Amino acid sequence: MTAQTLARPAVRRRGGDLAERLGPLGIAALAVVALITVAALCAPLITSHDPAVGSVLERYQGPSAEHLLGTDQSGRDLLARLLYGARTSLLGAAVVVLLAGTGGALLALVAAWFGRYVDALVGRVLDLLFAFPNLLLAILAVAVFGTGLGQATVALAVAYVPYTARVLRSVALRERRLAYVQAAELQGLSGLVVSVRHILPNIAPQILTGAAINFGYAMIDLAALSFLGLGVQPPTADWGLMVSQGKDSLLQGHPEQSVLAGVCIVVAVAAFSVIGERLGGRKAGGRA
Amino acid sequence: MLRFVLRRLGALAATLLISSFLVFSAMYAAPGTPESFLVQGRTVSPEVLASIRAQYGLDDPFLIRYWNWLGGVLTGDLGESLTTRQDVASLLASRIPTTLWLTLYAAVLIVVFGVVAGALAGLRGGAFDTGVLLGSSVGFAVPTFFAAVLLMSVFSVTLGWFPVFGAGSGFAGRVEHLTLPAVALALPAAAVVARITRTAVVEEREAEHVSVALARGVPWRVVARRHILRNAMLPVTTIVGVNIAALVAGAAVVEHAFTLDGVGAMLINSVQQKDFAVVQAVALLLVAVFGVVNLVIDILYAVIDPRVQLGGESA
Amino acid sequence: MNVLELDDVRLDLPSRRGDRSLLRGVSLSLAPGEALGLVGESGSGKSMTLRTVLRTEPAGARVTGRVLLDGEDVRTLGAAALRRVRAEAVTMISQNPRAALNPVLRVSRYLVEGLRDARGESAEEATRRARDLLARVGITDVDRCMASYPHQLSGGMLQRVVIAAAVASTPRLLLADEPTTALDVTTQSEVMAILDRQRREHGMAMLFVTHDLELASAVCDRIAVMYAGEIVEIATPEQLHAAPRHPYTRLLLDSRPSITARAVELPVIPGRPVAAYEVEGGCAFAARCPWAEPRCERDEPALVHDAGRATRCLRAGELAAELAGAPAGTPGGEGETEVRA
Repeated sequence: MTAQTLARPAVRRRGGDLAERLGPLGIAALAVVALITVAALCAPLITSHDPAVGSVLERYQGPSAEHLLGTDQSGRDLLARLLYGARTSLLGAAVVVLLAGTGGALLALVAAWFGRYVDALVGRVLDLLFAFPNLLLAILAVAVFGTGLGQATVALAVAYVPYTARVLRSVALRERRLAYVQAAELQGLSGLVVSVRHILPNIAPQILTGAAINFGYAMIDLAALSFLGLGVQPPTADWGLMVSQGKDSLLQGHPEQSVLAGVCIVVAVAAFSVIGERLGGRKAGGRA
Repeated sequence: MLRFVLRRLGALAATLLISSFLVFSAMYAAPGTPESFLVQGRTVSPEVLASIRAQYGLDDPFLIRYWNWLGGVLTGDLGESLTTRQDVASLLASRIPTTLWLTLYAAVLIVVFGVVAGALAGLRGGAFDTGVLLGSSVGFAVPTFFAAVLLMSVFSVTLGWFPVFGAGSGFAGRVEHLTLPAVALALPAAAVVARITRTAVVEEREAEHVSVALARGVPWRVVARRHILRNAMLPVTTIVGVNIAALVAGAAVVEHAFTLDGVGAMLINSVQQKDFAVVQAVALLLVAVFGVVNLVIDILYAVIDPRVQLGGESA
Repeated sequence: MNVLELDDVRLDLPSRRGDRSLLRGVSLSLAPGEALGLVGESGSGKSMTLRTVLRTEPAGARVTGRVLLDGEDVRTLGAAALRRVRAEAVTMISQNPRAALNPVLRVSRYLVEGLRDARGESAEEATRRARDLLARVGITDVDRCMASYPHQLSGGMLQRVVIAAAVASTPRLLLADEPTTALDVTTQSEVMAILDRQRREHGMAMLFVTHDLELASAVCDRIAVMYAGEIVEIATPEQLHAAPRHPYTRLLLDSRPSITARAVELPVIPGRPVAAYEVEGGCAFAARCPWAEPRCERDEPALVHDAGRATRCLRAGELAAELAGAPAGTPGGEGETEVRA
């Protein structure tokens, strides 16, 4: 074994050429994401209205100086609801991605390190979970955990773990077989140390790419759960919930709430999927 | 081939068995006792409560209850709904047609719009290609439920072309009632399918055997049909299948949005009402259908790609 | 009239860093029934030259010059006429038969479509002829071969199928692009023999691209040596072996292992091959040429025709004797002289 094969492959640095990888469209998408994040964080500075409180006397008002985007069926300020709704939507999706990424990485590392029976067991469990349609798994998890933002987030994370785990497991298994990992093992380092110090940094790019791609899906699915009444509960502001609550108003000729919230979701999801696609490096249509 | 199908069916049965146990335990572990829902906040005497618990077998040990339930399922008895007291099996049977029609309709839309648009985009290129790429990007980012609400707003409320609610009866009635829901359900999947079909066609166009066929003087029409499209359909079949299988669960969102009386809407309602007998039954049904659809895709794939050998032993 | 005549064919491929020239003016001619070998290292432009004939060059490539097929310029043909030429007058055998056949269709489809869809023969006639052709390229179990998918056949079998398809239309010109390179060594000579016999039986001219000078010498009437997108020498195999006139040809001949003597160390051509687009004035081979003089770096040599052969070297005249002799004359090649003793 030569020194070269023993040397740990450098984790590919991406900071420098990030702009080049993203391209103009990717940078625009990044700007959109930044804008939404800032708007969500600074919601109280942008509007003085409480998103959860409104006067029925002011219901279905058109845009005015007081209510820039008008009001909903309960007289609540739509702009305030959109701004605060961004908080739950972004936070929820972020937590889903974080939990799913952590769970997936953990399963992958365990499977890769112990191999044999443990790996086979992890594989079987993943197969079993793949027998459930994604959304069904999330709905069943809600049935167990109950409704609400936190519960729906955990439910979705459960539904996402099989996907992240499957990708990361194959990468981790490949990494596990490389000479430098086996050399570290021969040196007597514990499985935990080797996994965390050597394998984890090398599957980190895949974790990040997966997170970027999943973020858009998580936003849609979380909004879908809220739309179904299984996620965020009123009167909390949430984009998915707004589309749902706006449905009745829409049938009465007031589509503003549903449309505004829906457009916010579409724009945010599109931005995240562009970034994920660019970071993933494989643009549809191109070969490696 | 037959051996492969039988083995896969066996694996599916095993999966269903384990799934049933998982689902049953999950419902058992879920917070909120069934009887508290049954009495719905009314004050009842301990005797009544005890009789209810006895009636539903709630005092039996967990494994006994699972065993009893499983035995029922195998004999077609899915239990009784906690909320309506109706037989779950017949409840389910009454809901299946709507969901079946809805998903079939959506599947047709996915194939027709996704595959055809993607194939034309890949073959033609130019402005049509750009249009399909753009359309698929947008279509992909529009969540099903938002598409449902938008379609309802434009075509039902504003234009009045389609009914807002209900599943309709008779073929024409169903088509009329289910068009908007099916479009909403098919939209994101059709976008993905169009994108992948286009990529597959473009890649196949660059394959050497295609340029060889052209260099032999085989007409472009024949090359496009026999060599480009046929080969591109291999990856497309998989992705179409995966997306059609996912409709099984995705239908829940659309049924909820359009208040259709399908299986998915029933699942949502029962989850909200903690009617676990119904949740368990629907979950099992969906997993079974999902598994069968996936099996059909694998068989179909082996039929159209001679390089794939069903049997498993040989690669 | 010549079957094929290339007249100053140039090919440029646009790339991110400006156009890249791959062919820098290739001229050659092929008489009816003649076999011309096109020999050179990878990237010398031999395959690209071949591809300009049927206009199968990469998309976006710009080609200038004339490619005359029976006196007609194929570069200016309309779509219908080009398809007729492809279906009837010229066929091509590519390097990798596995990539040439559609992996999901049966061999019979491949054979029949060349006759039926391309040439309009009836289905029965096409099938009958396809079976006949397979038998003639030495396939014993014709039924099984016809019903097979490409992945079920060996590379050698597949290349026979491709050869059968190529001679099916009895074209006047056969383009062969390293037809045996992708095959096992044991089947290479077999397939080559079949190809050669079919060609002679049908009286087809052949443009044969290979990097194997020996193989080209065995099956071709004349050999054109290519370097960096241009032809540096054309001669008969006998002339080439007895007295190469271009330094590059000399070195190519020297770098083959000898059959009679065991080599201690094979001589190699110094330096690395130059791509056509890297050439900047002067002789393209000057940088690697042991005989190069200062003027070689400066003046661009022309392809000079002389007594049935042609050479592109400024010093061809003065070096003739030296290059024709044993490798002993190679300057700076003392170590190599022992090798072949």
